[in-house]
Amino acid sequence: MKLVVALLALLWAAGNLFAAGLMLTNGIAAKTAAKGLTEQGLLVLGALLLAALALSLIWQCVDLLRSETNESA
Amino acid sequence: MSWLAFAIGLILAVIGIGGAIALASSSAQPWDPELTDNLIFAKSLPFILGFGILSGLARAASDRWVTERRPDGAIRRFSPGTALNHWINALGFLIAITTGSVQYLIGVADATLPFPLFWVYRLHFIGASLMVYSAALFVTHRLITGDTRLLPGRGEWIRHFRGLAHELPRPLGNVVAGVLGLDLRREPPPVGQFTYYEKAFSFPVWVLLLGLIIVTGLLKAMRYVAPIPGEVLWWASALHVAAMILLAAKFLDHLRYVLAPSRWPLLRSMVQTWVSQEYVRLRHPLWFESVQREERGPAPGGVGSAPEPARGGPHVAGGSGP
Repeated sequence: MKLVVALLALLWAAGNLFAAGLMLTNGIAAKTAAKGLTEQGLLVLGALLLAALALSLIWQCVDLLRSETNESA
Repeated sequence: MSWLAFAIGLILAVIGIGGAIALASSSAQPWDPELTDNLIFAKSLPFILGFGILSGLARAASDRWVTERRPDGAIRRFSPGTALNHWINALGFLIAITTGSVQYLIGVADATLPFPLFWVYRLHFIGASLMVYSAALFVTHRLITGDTRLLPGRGEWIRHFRGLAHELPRPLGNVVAGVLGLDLRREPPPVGQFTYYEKAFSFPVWVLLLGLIIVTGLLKAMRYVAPIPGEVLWWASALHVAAMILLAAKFLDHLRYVLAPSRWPLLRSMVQTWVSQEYVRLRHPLWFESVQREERGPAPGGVGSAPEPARGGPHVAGGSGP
């Protein structure tokens, strides 16, 4: 069960990393720069927040998978 | 009585939502699929809210206010109704945030979808309906029962922040302790039914963000059936997007927290509703003590051994878990 839950969470974290990437690349693009610093800042900050939390979730999933392996060993 | 309230709510919701669908789907209306879905959602909202309120009434009426134990000693942490409502909200949240993110990201990236956009909106409204129902149920239940166990009580915030700082990863805990002037060399306070992270951070943030996204979403949805000033609509849209991004972040944090191997039994309890006695004794000693006190019952004279009453609500695990 832990394996299934951890894999689903990894999938979710990957989706969030993808979204963060899109927000970051568009946040620093010229078309967003034309809209002003606030628009850019919000996109970049949002992207960084999502990426940081997605990475910490990936770390936790690896921990969960390790504990599953240890229990079944 | 409780089943009657639930049944009345369900029947009214089916009639109301069915009526809205029938009206919008009649060939007399010139609306495109996106506007049709929006109008169905907007006209269904009073019925969804009403059904949620009646379900909350029904839940409050059926609460049992006793700690339940299995023969193996396991203690009930959440009532089945609580677990069910959590998963209804989770399903709605997942649908709504995924479809909301798609709408937002295709706007940010100037992209187009390989299928009609109204499907994304349709799913978004379904997810939002589940969230509105779940929120109405939860709020009604809490207002009636006065159960505030998921929040620190008056004068307890400092102790909760100290517990929170201990529960956070060490570097983050140090930052929180530094900002709030907490002494982490002191022993962490014992944990009750809910952890300090859940009470001092997680639950208040969920309430704030879910409340914001639901209220702003309702304003946006009502714009075709009620005159909403343009400025209000602009702010509602901006705050809706901001709440969505913060909720996406909060959900990642929620998963990070509940997927810690040491908290796996707590995650399982959100499905099975039970936690083993041993786990409660080791990880939630304050709760274990309170359950034991409750089982011993009031001592003759009643001083010092009566169960500790919860603030404004049940002191027990089984009857009306959050």
